[in-house]
Amino acid sequence: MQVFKLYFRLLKHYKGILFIYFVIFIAVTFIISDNMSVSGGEEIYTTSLNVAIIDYDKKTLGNGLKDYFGDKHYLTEIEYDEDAILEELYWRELAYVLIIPEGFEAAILAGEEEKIELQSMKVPGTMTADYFQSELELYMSKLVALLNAGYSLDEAQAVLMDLKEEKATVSLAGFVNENQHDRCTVFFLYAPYLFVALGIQGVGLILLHMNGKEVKARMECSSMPIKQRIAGLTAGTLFYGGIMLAAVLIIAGILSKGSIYGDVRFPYFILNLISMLLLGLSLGFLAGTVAKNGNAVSGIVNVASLALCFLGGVFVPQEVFSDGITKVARFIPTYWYVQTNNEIGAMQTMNTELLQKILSQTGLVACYALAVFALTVVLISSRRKQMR
Amino acid sequence: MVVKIENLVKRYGDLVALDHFNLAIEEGEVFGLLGPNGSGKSTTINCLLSLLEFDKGKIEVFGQEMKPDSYELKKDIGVIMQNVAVFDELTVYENIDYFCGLYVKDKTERKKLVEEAINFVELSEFRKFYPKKLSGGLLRRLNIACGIAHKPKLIILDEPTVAVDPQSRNKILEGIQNLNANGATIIYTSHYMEEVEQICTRIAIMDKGKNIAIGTKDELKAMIDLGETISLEVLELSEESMTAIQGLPHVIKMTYENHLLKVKFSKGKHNLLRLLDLMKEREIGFGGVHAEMPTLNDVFLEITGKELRD
Repeated sequence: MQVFKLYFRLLKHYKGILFIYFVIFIAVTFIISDNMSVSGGEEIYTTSLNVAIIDYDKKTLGNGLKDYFGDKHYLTEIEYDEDAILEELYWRELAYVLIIPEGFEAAILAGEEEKIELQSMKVPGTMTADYFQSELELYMSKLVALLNAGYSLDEAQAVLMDLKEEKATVSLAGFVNENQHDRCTVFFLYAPYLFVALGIQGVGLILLHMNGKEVKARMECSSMPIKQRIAGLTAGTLFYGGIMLAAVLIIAGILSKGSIYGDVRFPYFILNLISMLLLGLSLGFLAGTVAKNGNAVSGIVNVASLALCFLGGVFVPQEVFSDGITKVARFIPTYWYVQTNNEIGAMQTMNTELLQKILSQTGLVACYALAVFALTVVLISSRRKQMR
Repeated sequence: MVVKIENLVKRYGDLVALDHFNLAIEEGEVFGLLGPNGSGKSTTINCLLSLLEFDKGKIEVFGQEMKPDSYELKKDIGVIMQNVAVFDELTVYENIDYFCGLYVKDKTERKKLVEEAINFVELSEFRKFYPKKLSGGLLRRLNIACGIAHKPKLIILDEPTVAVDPQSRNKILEGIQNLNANGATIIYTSHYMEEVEQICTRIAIMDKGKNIAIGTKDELKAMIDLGETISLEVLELSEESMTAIQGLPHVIKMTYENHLLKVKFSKGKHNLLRLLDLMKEREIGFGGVHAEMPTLNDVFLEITGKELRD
């Protein structure tokens, strides 16, 4: 109990720096989780392009085209000036230039549309130009179809205008899973940074103080058995870890307005978080053993947290990793944490295969934690032997 | 017997730090371990406290073998290390309470003991201070309080006055004598012979890991053939008179510098009288006379051929 109390008395001394780390983490993840989260079809919207028209025909069909697209895009009528057009296309001030050739309407009405075609100037390969091109082709094919069906030009154009007013609801089902990018999944994605940074900073500094040569000797001379001291230290570390986990879960509750607590994925998220938390705490244990002073602990915090988060795919999506980086990242525990987090995030129902995958991946991260812990114990015992 | 060390051998590779070292300390003693740096004092203490493993020998404390897990024995031992061993992040009170709590679980009893320790080292008004705010002397007193708060029967102090101002040093020495008067047996290591002479009832002189002499300060001084050193303020001294002084019985060495005559005698009776008679006989005027008895440094010098502070 005495060592447990000491743990928190020492920790109290560093509450300022730990709080700053926590606040920064929360602020950043709140912003990111807000921006990255996708729900339903809210993100679908139409885009207006800068389109210029050069009308050599100056007939009803051309005017109808201008009316149709003028509502949707920023349309301007210009005279042909190749240099000026190319410059505007180059600087992306124009997305598309439509040229209606002379006699175009007559050719369409005569059913000879293949004789005179609409012409265009655009930046090849740009999405916006292709987008307008496809809209134009769709309009023309519908117009020709209506004309072939016996509609007059005015009637056909009126029908197309009416059709444009109708709006359809777009659903993303089958394209992106709604859960995959919900706020909690995104928020949990960043938890490794908090656990590694605060784990090393908190546990590392406490251990650094307790490992001080003089203080350690005084404790060794005391009548408190070493097992009791280790138990106090372990309890303190786990309690500290518990506080971090609780804080993350509370924030997740706030982000999801409480829905995460009743979510089928919640226990698996917790399991994944615990595996990462153990890694953070064991890294703190190692840092407190190898570091010579507080500055060294801070250095380890920065190197370990950033390296693990960048290489593991916390800060950079794993999808953008090259094959080489992915090969390296597979040796980083955070890589498996992110994989598991995304799989839990995308989960609709649990099945044996997914459960096995989650358990093996969280188990792998826990094994990393165990390996770091074992390495630290070996270091401590070899130093102890050397000193004695 | 509070402490019994038999044939203790401790090696660091080829270096023999303790060479068949023996020691026996009785209850109620203030026992001094005196020796130059590297003589093996701290190694002895570390072995005694089971902080160090040793190659050979036996250590008993309160009649029982001392081992790293002798937690019952450790309850009665208080340790004050050479370097201050406190937490900078805890206040004076919290530090004493923490270290006392490693021995005493009962909160009420501990509170009482901590208060007593704070009063004993006179740190009452600094109880809420953090160690970094304390002066060197006050810090040393805190270090002592952390080691004695649980009222141990055996207190080991390893050079507790290093880099301490004279006023604080006197307070510390006074405190140690009070602890002894209250019943604690003290083991005190130092390379300051004046301190050891001042407070220790028995002294062991160490050199190269060996116990080269042991006894009370008088017994130690009696071991050597050195008498007093007499100093006289003399305005003028002829070569002839100097030769006459040097010819006196038991004179080992004579110097005359800056009107100060210093004569070192071997053990013998009436050395001072003979010198004063000669001065009178030769009509040599002199001022203050000062006689100095041999110190432990002289004992060490005589036995080892080198100074304690070498």
